Amino acid sequence: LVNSTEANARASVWLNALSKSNLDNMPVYPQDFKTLSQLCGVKPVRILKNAEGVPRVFIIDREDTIQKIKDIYGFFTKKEAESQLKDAADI
Amino acid sequence: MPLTFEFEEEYRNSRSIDITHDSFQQDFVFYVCGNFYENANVDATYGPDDDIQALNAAYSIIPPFRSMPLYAGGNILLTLDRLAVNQVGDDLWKVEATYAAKNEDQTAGNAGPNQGDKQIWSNNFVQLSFNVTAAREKRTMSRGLSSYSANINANNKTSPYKLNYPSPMGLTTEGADGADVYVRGFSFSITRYMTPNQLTFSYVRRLYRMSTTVNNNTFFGFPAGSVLFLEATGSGDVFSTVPVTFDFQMRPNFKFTTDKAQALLMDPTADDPALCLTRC
Repeated sequence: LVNSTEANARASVWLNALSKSNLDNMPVYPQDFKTLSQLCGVKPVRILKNAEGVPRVFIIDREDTIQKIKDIYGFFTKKEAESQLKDAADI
Repeated sequence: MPLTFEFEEEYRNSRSIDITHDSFQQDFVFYVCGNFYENANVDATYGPDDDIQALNAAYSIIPPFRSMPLYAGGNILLTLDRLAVNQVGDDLWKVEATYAAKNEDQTAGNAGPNQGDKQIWSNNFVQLSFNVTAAREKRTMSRGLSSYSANINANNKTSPYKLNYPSPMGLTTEGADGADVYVRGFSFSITRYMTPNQLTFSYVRRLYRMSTTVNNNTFFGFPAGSVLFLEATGSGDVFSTVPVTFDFQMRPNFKFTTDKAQALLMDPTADDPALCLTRC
């Protein structure tokens, strides 16, 4: 999954989306949680269910999810990339 | 007392999807019921703020994004576009949330929740790969002639090259043999994921014009004139996010002349005047 172009593209989209928010814990819809879970194995902090007990919203740790995606797919912020490249060039 | 609430989606009306040729929208309708009034700050002058309590409850359960599949394949990320909170009962509020497709880089003219987020929403994450190489390169000129001996068939001709001055290496009647040296190389690639609306023809034309140019300002920590842009490659589903890989080669933005004691910094692309044969 990690090596597929589609997974990398989706990871990129979610990474940018997650970084846009400033919530510590971010709610996501069940299908989106499933996607994130498949992409990076994120676990819910809390699950909100309706009266019938059906999960309707998953709460995730935003920073933790960002870090998981970055680690698994090798994403860097532009600042981190600058630092990495500079370190590499100094060798 | 802590704020507690329950919520329930409205049967049939919630999760309706509306797609047109240039828009994509989904609406959610649900009710939140909790101890909003109990938790409200009741002020004799300004009245209770249970509406704020209900709104905070809505904020805590409404995701800012919604991913949806596209007819042509791929997915689109919808962003929260509208949020309406209306009181139905004492502690019962109706919440309507609308998700819509938004241009990722919005101009000031396009109002919406993302307005002003241009820098944050722009593609901030990239993937890196490095390649450190050692390439063999043939040098035909030495930095200085260290010794020479007379060829017995040369009829006592003297060497046209002076000791300690640049001269051809392995010079024979058929030319200079030269010598192989290893040259270090450092190249790197940056992959960013772009949406189809970012990959316009004008952007691709700009890439074409930029190919084989060097940076005129600091680029990823490298000083001006030290990074050569080689090529950009984009592949993937054009309806979805497309990975575009940019290849660069790093080299020092200076070199020393070979003039030994008088060595000077010079443009790395210019010919070294010290290696000019007419000097000798």
